[in-house]
Amino acid sequence: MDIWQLHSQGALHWEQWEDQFALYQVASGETHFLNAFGAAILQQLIAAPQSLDAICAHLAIEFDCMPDAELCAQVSALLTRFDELGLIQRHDD
Amino acid sequence: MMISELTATELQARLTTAGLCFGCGPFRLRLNSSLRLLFPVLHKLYAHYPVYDHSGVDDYRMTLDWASPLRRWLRPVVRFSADGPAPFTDVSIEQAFPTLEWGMNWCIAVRAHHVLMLHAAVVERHGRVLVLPAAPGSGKSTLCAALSHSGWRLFSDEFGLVQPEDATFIPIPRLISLKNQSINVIRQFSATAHIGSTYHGTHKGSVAHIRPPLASITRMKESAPAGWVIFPRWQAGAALTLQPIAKDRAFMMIASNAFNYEVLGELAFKAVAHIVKNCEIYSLVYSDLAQAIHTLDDLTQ
Amino acid sequence: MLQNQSPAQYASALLINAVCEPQQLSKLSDCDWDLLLQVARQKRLLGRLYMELKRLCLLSSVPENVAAQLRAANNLVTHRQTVLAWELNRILWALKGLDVPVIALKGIAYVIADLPPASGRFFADLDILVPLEHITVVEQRLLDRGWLKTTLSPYDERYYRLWMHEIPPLRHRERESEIDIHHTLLPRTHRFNFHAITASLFTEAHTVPNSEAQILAAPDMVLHVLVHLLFEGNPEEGLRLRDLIDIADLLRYFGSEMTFWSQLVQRAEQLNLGRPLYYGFRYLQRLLGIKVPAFAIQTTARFAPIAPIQWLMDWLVPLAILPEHPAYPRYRARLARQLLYLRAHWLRMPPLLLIRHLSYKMWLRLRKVPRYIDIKPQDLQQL
Repeated sequence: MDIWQLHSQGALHWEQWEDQFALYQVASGETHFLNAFGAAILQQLIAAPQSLDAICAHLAIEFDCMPDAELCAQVSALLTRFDELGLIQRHDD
Repeated sequence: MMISELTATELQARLTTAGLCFGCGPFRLRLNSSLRLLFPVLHKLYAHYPVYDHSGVDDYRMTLDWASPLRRWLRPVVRFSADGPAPFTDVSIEQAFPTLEWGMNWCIAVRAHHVLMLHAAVVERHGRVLVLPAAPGSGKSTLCAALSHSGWRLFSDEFGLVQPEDATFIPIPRLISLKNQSINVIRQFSATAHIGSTYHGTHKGSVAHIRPPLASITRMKESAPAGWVIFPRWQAGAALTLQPIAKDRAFMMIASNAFNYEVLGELAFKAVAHIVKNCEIYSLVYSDLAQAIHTLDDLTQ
Repeated sequence: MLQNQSPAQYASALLINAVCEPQQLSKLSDCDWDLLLQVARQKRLLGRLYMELKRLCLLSSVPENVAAQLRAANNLVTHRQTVLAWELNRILWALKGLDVPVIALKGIAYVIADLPPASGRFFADLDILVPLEHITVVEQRLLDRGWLKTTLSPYDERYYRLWMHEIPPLRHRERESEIDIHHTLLPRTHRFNFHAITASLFTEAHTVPNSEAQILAAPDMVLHVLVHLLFEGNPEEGLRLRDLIDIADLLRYFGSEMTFWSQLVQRAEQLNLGRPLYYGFRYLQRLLGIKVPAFAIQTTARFAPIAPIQWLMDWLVPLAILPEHPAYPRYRARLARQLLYLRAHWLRMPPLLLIRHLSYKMWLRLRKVPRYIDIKPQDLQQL
């Protein structure tokens, strides 16, 4: 299973309002808006590189839900999007 | 010295030779034109701007003149240019003045990337500014005109210039441009508003311009921090509502309203975050102008 | 203004001195600054002046609104550099696993390799070079991963595919920048074509720390800018002074190694670019006062054109490359820009094709494209 980590040019500035986040990505000059779920995934990866399963397990606890296939699919889709945006990358890249 | 203190001959002499140099907010502008019909309009509507000596460093050099000396007699069209090729198509001589106003906006918008430029009207009272971001049909110019003639100081009708380092607003008291029905609305609202001629049939319909009140120009070097951001919307017959906007949404709305948010990158991100953090932010729906002004006065007491 | 100096000479001298001796900038009068800003804007050198003043800690010694205008220009430059460097990063991400070498060209190469010309340099597009045999897979992979073809007329599409050294530009669906993917440095039809040895550009290329893209070897990089300077004319803009300045920067940077100069001459000969190198040395010395080692001058002397051509170029090149005084444009400078543009076009294509291409472009120009005067955020990023 892929291990994900923050992108190597991953300098970010955060702004937070309750459960919404704005993120400035220094390398691209882009501003991204995230909800609490997206932000939690990214913060997980800032803490340490990890696999899809590990992220799901953690999110299930944080958001008090089942670590089921639906959650996994959701997280996986977000990881793909973050990868495309260059927010994260695979650990071996 | 102000433009109104020049005689008509002196004004014409400047416009047709080295150029009329004048100050508007932080900028020094130079205008050349031989269009006679423009001279009295400038004399009236630009009356309060300070005249500068013609040797100095200009921010924008603008020319508004006949598109070609020959065609002047066949099909009288004029061309606006500023340090380079003309940015717009030529327009008929009747539309010379509105084109000059749009041209000046264009100059600022394409170049002034040392500041964050919001597309907004801005007015000030008690040392803090009220920002009215533009959206089609928002009626921000109508509100701006009414506020500037109800005890608020005009900062700008078109540009919210933000010093990115500390997020303070810089005045740029250009003329207020009114469109269609709002021209009469303001005529009725304020007897003191000095409104120029109405130009019909422009690409934005009928437009008329309000001369910035004298105090807005004499104090045009005094910046101020933002206190309120109000997203206005005029809706016929609507009861007035004033609703707070969530900060995250406000951030998105302000960032996407700026002309050059992307260009300033991190500076812009921090400046917008600063504005969002320190302002009260509302959406305002109104139909009655006097009632809207009253509500804004109460809100900002 | 000095006696015996025409307005154009004065404006040129002001700009060239600003570029060559930026430490003198703090002594300029307001009038000179006013003129300098206009000519530097004309030549897209405001960002460079800003970076030079910053490097010399002189920003606080220039008039306040001069500093503001320079900062505005430099903010735009920084933004373009960020955006294009990121575009390259995303292209490399998309091409992962294809095992195709990607060479970054021109501006983006200076940025990723941190070379002197990057400082304050504005550039509009992203240019990369990939081997011709891989260009289809590269294009297809990018199309699969979110890039789109820009819509071209069938004429332009055909023109690109058949005759050019690049494919029609692509753009990512979420971003603004156009990317030009080249397979060689000169159009297929070009007189100075070195198609047969394009492969050696890849074998000579260098890797760059912290990027998977490569850059051209130093001599190839210099020759590429020369090609760009001399063969990519534009009748309005003339020859690009900033290209000549890029070459000066690169020669100063690489030229401390004496072996570099002989490699450069040798490579120019190999790529059939002796004549452009000869002109490059000549005008760098004449216009920017750059010192070129005597042996390099001697070994390129054999690439000189016949005397009448030499004389003509000596007249045309300075007219087309140096700035005009904005208040006193000269007909002969316009003529020089147009003649050099024709020359560049002539060299790019066989004559029959040239006539077809020019007449088609002329026809397009006659059909006026409407322009509107609404200001919208997306219009606002030229300077």
